[in-house]
Amino acid sequence: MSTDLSMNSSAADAASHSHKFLTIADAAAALRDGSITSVALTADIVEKATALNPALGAYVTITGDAALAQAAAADVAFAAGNDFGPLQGIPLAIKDIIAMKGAGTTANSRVLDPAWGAGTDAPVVARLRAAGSVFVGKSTTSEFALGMPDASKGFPVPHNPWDVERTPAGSSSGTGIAVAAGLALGGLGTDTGGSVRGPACVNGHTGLKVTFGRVPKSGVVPLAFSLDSIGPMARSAYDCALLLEVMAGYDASDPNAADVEVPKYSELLNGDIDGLKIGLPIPYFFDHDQLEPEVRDAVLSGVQQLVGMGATSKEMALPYAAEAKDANMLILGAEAYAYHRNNLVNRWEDYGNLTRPTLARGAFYTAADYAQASRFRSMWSAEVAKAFEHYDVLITPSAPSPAQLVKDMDPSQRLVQPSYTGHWNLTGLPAVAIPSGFTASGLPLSMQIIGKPFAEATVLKVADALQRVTNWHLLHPPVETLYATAA
Amino acid sequence: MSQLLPTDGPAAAEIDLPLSPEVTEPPGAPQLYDAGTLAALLRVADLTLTDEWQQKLLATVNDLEPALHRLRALDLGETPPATAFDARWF
Repeated sequence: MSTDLSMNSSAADAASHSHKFLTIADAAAALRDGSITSVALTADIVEKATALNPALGAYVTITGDAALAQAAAADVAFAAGNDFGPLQGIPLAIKDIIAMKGAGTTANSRVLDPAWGAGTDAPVVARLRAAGSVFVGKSTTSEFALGMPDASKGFPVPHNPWDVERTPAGSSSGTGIAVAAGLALGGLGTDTGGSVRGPACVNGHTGLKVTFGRVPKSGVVPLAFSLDSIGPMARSAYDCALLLEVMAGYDASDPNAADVEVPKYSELLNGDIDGLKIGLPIPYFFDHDQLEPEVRDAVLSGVQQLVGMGATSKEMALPYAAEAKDANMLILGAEAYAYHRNNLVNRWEDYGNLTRPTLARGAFYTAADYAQASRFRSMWSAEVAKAFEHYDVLITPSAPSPAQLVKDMDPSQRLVQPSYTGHWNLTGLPAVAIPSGFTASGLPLSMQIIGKPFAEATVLKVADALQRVTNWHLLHPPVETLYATAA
Repeated sequence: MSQLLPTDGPAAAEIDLPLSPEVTEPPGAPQLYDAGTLAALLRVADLTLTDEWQQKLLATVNDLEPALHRLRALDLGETPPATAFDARWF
C-alpha cells in the first residue's frame, strides 16, 4: 500500500513526538543495543514523512506498509542473531528514477511508461534490500533528473527544509530533503552534473558522486549515458561509506560497471590525514565574480582545519575550467536529447513546462559540437590527471552560492552561471559534498572534495576527518515549525 | 592571482601557480540563433511548436552561445574524442 500523500491528519500527533536526527551509524548501534527497534524507528519516520510531505515534497510515494514489513523482518533477524550489517533495519529513500519492487517509477513525469521497471529492483536497490535496509518510499526527482519542479503535472514540488521559499536543488531533491529533515537516514541519488552534490550542498548534509562505473546504474532511467552515476546521500561521510560498501561493485547488467575491488570503506575512515596533499584550484573555482564570499571563506576555513590536522595545501590552477563546465552541459544535453527526442516530437505537452526547453536545447547542437566536447573531455581529463600527480585531493566550493530563492531562479541560468560539479562527471572522478558551515542568515554552506579514480575511500576519509572536528553535518533544519504548515 | 589562505602559522598554504589561460569569448563571434534559424532547426528536429514556445526557446538558446563559442574556438589538434570515463587517463 502506498500512503495517500495528501493525508495530514497525524500531523498534530507527530508534532508532539521528539524528533531524532540519527545518523545511520548511531541508529545501527541503537538497533544492536536494543534501545530502539527498526519498527519503532521506521514508524516514526513514516509518520513524519507523511505529515511533512505536503510542506516539503520529499516523496512521490511513501511505501509505509512495505517499509514496516521490512522493518519487522529486520527486527526478527536481529532477535534470531542474524546480522546482515550496519544497514539492517535502516530507513532509506530511493530516488524515483531507480527501479524498486513494490512501487512504480515515475521520474516525476507523465511521459515515462508507468510499467517502466515494474516489479524489479535495480541492482543497487537489490543490494540494499539484501543488506536488510528499509525503503520509506520513492523520493522526488526533477523530471527525468533534468527539469525544474512544475506543479501543473501533479507531482509533489520539493522545498528546502531550511527555508521552504528556497530551492532544495536537484535533481535528487527528495532524498536530499528527506535526509536533512529526518524523513530517512540516508538514500540514493543520481549524479550526472551535480545532482547528488547539489541537494547535499543546499540541504546541509553529505552526498557522494562516485567514480563512473563504481556503482552499477542499470535499473535507472538514463539522463546522459556517459555521465550518469548513482551515489549515496546521508548525514555524514561515515554513513555514505556504510552505504557505498553495499552499493558498489561489478554487475554485468551495466556495460559501464567497473570490475574493481570494493574496499570496506568504513574501516578506512580513521581520522588520519597526516601528509595528505590538497590542491586548491584558484581560477574559476575560488576567484569567480559570482562566487559568494561566505561560500569561499567557509571552504578555506575547512581547508585550514585539515591543514591543522597534518595535511598540506597548495593553491594551483586547472586550465579550461569554464570550458569543462560547458562541455559537461553540452554532452549531457545532447545525450539527454537523443533519449527523449521521439517523445519530445510526439508528446511535447506531456513534459513539464520547465523541462521542455531544457531538453529541446539539445536539438541545437551539431554533431561536430558533440564530438568537439568529447575531444575536450579527453584533453581536460589529461590536465586533471596531471594535477593528481601532485595532489591526493582537490578541494573546491560545491556551488557558488547557498540555496537560492525559487522565485529568483531562471531555467536557463545553469547555462550562464558558474558551476563546480559537472567537471568531475566529465572526468568520471569521485567527489563528495559536505557541509562547511552556515551563512549569517542560517543557510547551509558546502565544500567539495575530489579524488582520483576509485579513490572514494580517500575523499570520504578527508570528509570524515573534518566531520570529526565539526558538527555542521549534524545540525538539522527546524522542521517542527513546518507541522503547522502541513496541518 | 591573490593568495587566499594566510601566510603565517601552521595553516599557511604554499604557493605554486601555473596560471590558467584566460577564459574569454572569441572576439566578434557571430550570433548563432535568431527566430529564423531557430524555426529552421526546429523543422530539422521535427519539433512543431507554437509561436509562443518558439519565443520561449529563443530566449533560452541564446544562453548556449557563449559556451558553444568557447568550445568551438579550442584547437584540440589530434586529440581523439572520449566516449566515457576511462580510468587509464589517470
